Amino acid sequence: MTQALGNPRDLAGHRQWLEVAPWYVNGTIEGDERAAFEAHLAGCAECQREIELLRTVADVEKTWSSAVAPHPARFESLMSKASRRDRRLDSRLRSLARDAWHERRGAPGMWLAVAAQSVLVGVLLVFLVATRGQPREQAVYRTLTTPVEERAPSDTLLGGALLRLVFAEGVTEEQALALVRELGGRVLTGPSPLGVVTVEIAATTRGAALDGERRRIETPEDLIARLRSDPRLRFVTWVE
Amino acid sequence: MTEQHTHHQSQQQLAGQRSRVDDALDDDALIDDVAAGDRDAFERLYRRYYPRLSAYLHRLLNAPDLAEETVDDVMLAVWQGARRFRKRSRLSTWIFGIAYRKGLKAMRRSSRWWQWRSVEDIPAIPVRDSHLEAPILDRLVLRSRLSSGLGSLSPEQRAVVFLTFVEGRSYQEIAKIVGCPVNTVKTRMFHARRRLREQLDNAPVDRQDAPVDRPEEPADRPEEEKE
Repeated sequence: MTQALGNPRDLAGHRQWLEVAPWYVNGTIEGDERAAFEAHLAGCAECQREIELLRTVADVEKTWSSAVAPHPARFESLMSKASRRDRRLDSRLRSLARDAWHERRGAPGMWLAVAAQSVLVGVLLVFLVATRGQPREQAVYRTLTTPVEERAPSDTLLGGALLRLVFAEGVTEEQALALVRELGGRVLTGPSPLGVVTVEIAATTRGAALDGERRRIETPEDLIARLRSDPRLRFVTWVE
Repeated sequence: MTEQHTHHQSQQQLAGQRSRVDDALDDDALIDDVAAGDRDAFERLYRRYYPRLSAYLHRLLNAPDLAEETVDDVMLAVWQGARRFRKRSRLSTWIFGIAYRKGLKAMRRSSRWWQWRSVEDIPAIPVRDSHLEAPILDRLVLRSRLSSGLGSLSPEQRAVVFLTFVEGRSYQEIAKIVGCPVNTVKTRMFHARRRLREQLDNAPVDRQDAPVDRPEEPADRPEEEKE
C-alpha cells in the first residue's frame, strides 16, 4: 500500500482496485480483470490487508446468514394463501367485469324501475277502463261529524264556541257521542287522523254543561277543568 | 497470501461457477413448469429458494417474523408472475430482485421502521487503521466487532454485503437485483466497509491524523448516493 500510495500516478488505479476488492474475494472478478487485480495486489500492502479483512467479513456474514430448510407444512400453508388470493382476485375481476357490463348496458336498478313503472301504468289503465261509467261505492270510512244536511238551523251555529277534544284510548264511538251530547254540542269535524274532534257548543248552552242530573251554570274555566279531569278525554282545549 | 491459497481459491471458484451454471439450467426448466401452473415444480422451486431467501431477508430486515412473512410474499409473487419472467437475467436474480423490493416495502410498512434508519444518517466516527496494525487484537474480538458492525448497516448496505459474500454475486448482478447503477453498488459497499472499520476501531482518533484509507467518491455517482 505504501508503495502504491507513495506513487501519485498509481493512486487512481489503487482506489479503483480497492473498490472492487469485495468482488475479488467472492470470485466474480474474472479473466483479464482478475489478472490485473492480482498484479496490483502483489505490490500493494493495503489491498492485501483489505482482502484479509474482507475474507473475515465474508466468513462472519456467512455465519450469520445460516440457511434453513422450510417446515414441511409451510408450503401447504403458502398454497392455501395463494388460493385465497386467487379467489379474492377472481371475485374482484368478476365484479369489475360486472361493472363494465353495467356501464355499457346501464344500471340494473334503472331497468327495474322502468319495468315497475310500466306495470303500474298498465294496471292503472285497466282499472280506469273497467270502472268507467260505474256508480261509485259508498266510502266505508265515516267521521263523527253530523251530516250538514241533517243539521238543524239554529242559533248554535251563530254564537257557538269550539272545543278541540281527543278521546282516551278504549272510548267507544257511543261513549264519545254521549259525552258530546252531555256538553250540549255536536261534532263539527273529526276525528282527524290524529284523533282530534272539534265540537261546537250551542250558544244557548255556552258555558253550561250537564252534571249528571243536576244542571248548573259553569264558567268556561270550570268546564275546561272538568273535562280535563274526565277519564274519557286525553286532551281538551278551546279553539280560538 | 500464498500461491497455494490462491490455487485453492481458484478451485473453489470454479466449482462454484459450475454449480451456478447447473442451478441456472435447472431453474430455467423449473420456471417454465411453474409458469404452466405445475404445483409440484413450484414446490421444488420453493424448497430450493426458501433457505436462501429466508437467510437474505433475515439479514435485510433483522426481524424474523417479518422476514418469514416476506419470503411467502416473494414466493407468491413468483407463483403468480412466473409467466412474466422473460429470462433476460438468471431466475435467481429476478427472485432476489423481488425479495429486495418486497423487503424494503415491508420495512416501510412496519411499525419498527426506526430500527432500519440508514447509518448514513448517523454522524461518522473518526477512524484509524488499528485493526490492521494491531496483531494483538484477538480474532474472536474482531469477529464479534464485525458482527456488530454488520448489524448496524443500513438495509441497502446489508443487501449488497449479503449478495456479495453469501450469494456470491458480481457487482453487475447486484445492480440488477437492487435496481441501481453499478457505481451505486460500489458506493454502498464502500460505506459498509467504512462502517465496519469504525466498529473495529477501539480508540477513535482525529480523521485528519489517520492514514488515508478511503477512496474519494467517483464523480459519476448518482446524486442520492452522495453524503
